[in-house]
Amino acid sequence: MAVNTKTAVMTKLQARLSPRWIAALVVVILAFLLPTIIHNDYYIRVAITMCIWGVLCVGFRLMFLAGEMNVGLPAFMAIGAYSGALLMVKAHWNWWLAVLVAAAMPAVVALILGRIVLRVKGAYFAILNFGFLMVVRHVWLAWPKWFGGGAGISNIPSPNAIGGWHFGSLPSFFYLGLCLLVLTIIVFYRLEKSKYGLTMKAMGQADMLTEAVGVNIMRYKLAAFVLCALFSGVVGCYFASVQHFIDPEEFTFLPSLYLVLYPVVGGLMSFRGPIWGVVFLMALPIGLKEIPGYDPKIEPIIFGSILVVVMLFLPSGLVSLPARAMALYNKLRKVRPKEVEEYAAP
Amino acid sequence: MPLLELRGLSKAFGGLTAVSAVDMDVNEGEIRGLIGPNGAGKSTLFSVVSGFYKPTGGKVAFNGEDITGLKPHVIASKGLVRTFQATILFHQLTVMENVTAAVHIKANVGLVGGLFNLPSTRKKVAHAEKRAKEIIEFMKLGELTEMFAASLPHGYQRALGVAVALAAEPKMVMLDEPVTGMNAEEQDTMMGLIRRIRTDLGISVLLVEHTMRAVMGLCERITVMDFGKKIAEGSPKEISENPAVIEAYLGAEA
Repeated sequence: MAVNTKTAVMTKLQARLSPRWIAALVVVILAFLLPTIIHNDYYIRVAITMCIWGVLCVGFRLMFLAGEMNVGLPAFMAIGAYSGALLMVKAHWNWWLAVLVAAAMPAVVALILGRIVLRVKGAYFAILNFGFLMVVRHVWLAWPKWFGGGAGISNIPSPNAIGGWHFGSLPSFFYLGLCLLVLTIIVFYRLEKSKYGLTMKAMGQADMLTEAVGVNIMRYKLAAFVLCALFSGVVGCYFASVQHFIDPEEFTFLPSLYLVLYPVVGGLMSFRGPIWGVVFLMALPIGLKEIPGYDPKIEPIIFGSILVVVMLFLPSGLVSLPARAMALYNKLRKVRPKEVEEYAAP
Repeated sequence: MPLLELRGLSKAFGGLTAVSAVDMDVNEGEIRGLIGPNGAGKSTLFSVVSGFYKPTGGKVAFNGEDITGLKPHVIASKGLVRTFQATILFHQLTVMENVTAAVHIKANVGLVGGLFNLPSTRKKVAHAEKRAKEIIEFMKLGELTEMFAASLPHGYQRALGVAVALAAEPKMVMLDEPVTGMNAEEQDTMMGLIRRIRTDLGISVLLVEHTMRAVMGLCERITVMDFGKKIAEGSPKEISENPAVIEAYLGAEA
């Protein structure tokens, strides 16, 4: 019996220590070491922005499993950012309390909104969410007395110190953001691999069939919608603190566009794809700036071209590149001599 | 008391009446056939009964309970489960995943359960996987568990469609063209399975099918529809001799 338990534990441990897990662990450790290696503020800021977008894009994938493009996440991020910022600036709340409200507010809004927008699917769902983002931005603008109008909200404080941990420096913000991203990844990865995730995938492939076997589609999608809104809200509050300032111009249609761009370029067919999409497309400008005579104005052209090329030639995104390259290499190695022969024959 | 009871069931799309005042009783333990020429309204009737369309008139009762106009997932949870005409499956999932995903009613894990691997969750998932294996074995798909649904041959896809329906633990299954597009040998296998669904699993069957060989061979009673109306009902022998049925099938050319 004792031996049995021991082997059971060992197999479990071995399963946990698969190459994939080790690779993920190494990446996380390297990410945590980043501020000790790089002392450039600009790079750290980029890394912080990667964490923020990482959270949004990981969330984006969950509803994509069920076939929905949840492009409204920036709206929930905005609601979180504004809830947190107003509580801290106007009511002088502690950051850690404010972030709880910043998580709850978007979740409550999503619970109500979801019942309406989840009645439609596909492009219509995306358009409704897009519309919601526009509405939210204009609410901030329409009541300047409450929401600061076009001038936004400034002097948003950093998170309060807890224990020996003080926040305010860029590396401290990066560590907080990275922790948030890692937490998001754990939560959404577990969900995706669970029976809940399986049902979501089934829904994405044949929603009528899932309904026919008794799945309440609305409840499943609503749960995902609320959870994504909650994480977006937290990340919004974090974003407000990093910047110490927010205004409605942060939440135009552009974030929605990026929310599709990053995951598609990285690869929506895998869990890691959207994360690598964020890392790649955000690191790219750093490299491009090194090119003499490079004008940042052409960045959208480059991003757009990458999107088109990826969609045409790499439907599973950049993360599928190694496998594709390997397949191509094997194919070339095997097929080539034959081809040469055939061409030489006549 | 019949298990499934339709009273004056109607469905109109704008001016077109696809199903017109149909009465039908299907008893427990019965294999009932529903036939009729193309466009007779059989599939629409299926969709109305299973809740995908709201009826414009009439009543559906299942197991003594009024289920008219309920949502499809509610009707399924009451034990009335349908399959689809086309091979609608979870194409990018394996056979095992297809059936496991469909073992839902008794193993609904949800978001919280999925996130926290609670003992109750583990029990539900273990139950779902065990049940899925049993159903896959029953439908003779045991050697294909790891294959993707999309890559299965047509006959096996139909069988998987039925397996998915069985996973929902029905009292009655509504099979939409279960043997269409199969060769005689595959048809015989599927017919054998449908008989076993009734005898071994105690599940009643209502099936729409164009393949007369299968309908005549399987069903005790057959209901015939034409232009949305029920035109005949009876044993296979009665149906094949019924002048109204013969006219419906051959009338235009005769």
